[in-house]
Amino acid sequence: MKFLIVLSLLIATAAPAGAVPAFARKYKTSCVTCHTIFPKLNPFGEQFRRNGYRFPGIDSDNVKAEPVPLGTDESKKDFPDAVWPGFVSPFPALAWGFNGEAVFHPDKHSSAAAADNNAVVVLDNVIEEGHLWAAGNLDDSITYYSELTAASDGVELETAALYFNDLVGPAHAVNLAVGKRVGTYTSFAPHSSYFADMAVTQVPVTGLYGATSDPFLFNDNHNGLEVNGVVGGRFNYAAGVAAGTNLDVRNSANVYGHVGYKLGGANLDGEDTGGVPQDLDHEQSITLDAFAYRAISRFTDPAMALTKDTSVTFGGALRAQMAELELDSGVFWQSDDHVTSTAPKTSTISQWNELAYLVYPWLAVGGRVEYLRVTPDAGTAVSDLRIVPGASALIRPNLKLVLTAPVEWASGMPDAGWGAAGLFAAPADMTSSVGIEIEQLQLVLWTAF
Amino acid sequence: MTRLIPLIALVVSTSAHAGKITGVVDAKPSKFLKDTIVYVKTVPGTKNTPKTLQIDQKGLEFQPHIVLAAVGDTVKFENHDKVDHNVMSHEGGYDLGVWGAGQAKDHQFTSEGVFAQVCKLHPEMLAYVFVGQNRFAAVVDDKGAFTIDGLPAGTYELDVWNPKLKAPAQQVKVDDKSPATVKFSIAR
Repeated sequence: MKFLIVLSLLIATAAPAGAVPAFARKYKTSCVTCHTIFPKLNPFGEQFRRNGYRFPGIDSDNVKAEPVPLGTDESKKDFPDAVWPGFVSPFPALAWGFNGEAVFHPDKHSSAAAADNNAVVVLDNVIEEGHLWAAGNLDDSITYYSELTAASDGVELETAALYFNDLVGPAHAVNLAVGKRVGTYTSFAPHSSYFADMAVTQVPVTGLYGATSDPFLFNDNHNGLEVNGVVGGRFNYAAGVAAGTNLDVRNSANVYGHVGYKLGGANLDGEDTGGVPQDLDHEQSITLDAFAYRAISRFTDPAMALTKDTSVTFGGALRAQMAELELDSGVFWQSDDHVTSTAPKTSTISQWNELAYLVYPWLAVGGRVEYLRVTPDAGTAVSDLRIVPGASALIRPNLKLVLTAPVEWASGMPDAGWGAAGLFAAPADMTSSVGIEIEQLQLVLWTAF
Repeated sequence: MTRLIPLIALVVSTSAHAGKITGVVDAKPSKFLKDTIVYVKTVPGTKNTPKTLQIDQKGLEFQPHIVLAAVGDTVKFENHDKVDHNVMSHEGGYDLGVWGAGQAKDHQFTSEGVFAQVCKLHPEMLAYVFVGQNRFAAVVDDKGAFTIDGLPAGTYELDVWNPKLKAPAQQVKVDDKSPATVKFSIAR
């Protein structure tokens, strides 16, 4: 149990990829060109990300750190008798950053405090992870993005992907992403949250039932291929195949798809604005998303039996933005046929809401509400409700503090508790309830440079 | 002395009727401004005396990056590096081959145009040879300013060239009293 709680803390504080000063150096522009409070992207930053980490129009028109040419445009005229030209950054396209947290338990008897041996103040993870990002272009259409994370448990290549943009048709209509990354399930970045690591909640269902190897998460970094694009400035789509999570080498059988549509505000790719100011900081818009994922994962269950789980997930999300006020809401339903080798089919519902108000360009206040319910066939449903009020502040464009105070209720728990889902509540047994608990005050520090 | 008198007379005559065009080019994006050439498309009655101009290949760069020439001029490509170089041009349809340190190759330009010069061995190297009908052309400075001097009075079509950006040509009336002023805004 303690292991799972520790795992949950790691998940809860995992690195929000996206704040990449390599871009600031390349374009000689501030982080706030693309971010409100990083890694949260503003509408322009979302356009940049959707465009495969490129400015609208011709990306190199906006590059101020002039790249080292690996050939000139003249070489294209000599193709195939010459190598098609490209370029590299004049300096390593790298950025470094680190993050950590200080934790205060106002209630020594809360589930979170119990997991910390009833400590009141925990400073063990004030600096917890280091991150090395590399991001840039190979030319005006091929881009790359990668992140290496180092922590006490090792070094992991979290993300490494190549983006082949504008393959056919109008700009941004058909692109191919190849590599290890989080697939596209909404119109917004995976880390588009002020108060949590991931905008869409991460629920490793097999982990809730004690998987002893890596549990599958559809919204985790997976190797794979994805075709995506923006059509007409308002509609975006993605379809992908991914390797998923398997204990051994298997067919890469995971498939997923996403569609999204934005009403009002800036368009999704920043193209064809007709010179009309987009008023990106004060837009009023609603964006609707739907996604589906079918996955097969193989893992070892608590009895160390090799188990094959087929899961199907359907979800939807909504973002409503009214100038400085923003609401993100969504839900997904997931069916797993084998959360353990002997378990019946299990249904999971995860619902999340995040309301945030930008008091100043550097200060967001609000919070998240997350509800998780797991129901085995012919069994009793167990659920957890978490409310996380919080404030997120930029001390500098590349330095931020986030203060959150998660409060939780739980009615029962799955076999291995809620910890695998990053939740704190720890009922005494499978049918007991816990709450209301003020789990902790958490002060997160993040910087990237 | 008898040969000198007509020469003095010619100089006085030309300067008495010389006109000037000054102006500025505004580029968007501004970082592409540096490779911009402003030129008079046609000056009736022009008879160019062929010249030999020079481009060095030095430090894996063409120096200068832009050469202004007129039809009939020859460019001498000198290799001042310790590595082999090549010069070829798709627009010109020539490939001068490969030559070593201290050697040079010539090419005569017999038609108007802008000819990109590349080195097949070092594909990042690039230069432009601008070949005009006449010699009334200028490369803009780092602020986009240019001056074309010595034009006979008259009305001319003034054009602008840039590898990535463009703008329409303009009619300019030149006289010998005050400089004609022109502004170009070049963009994608």
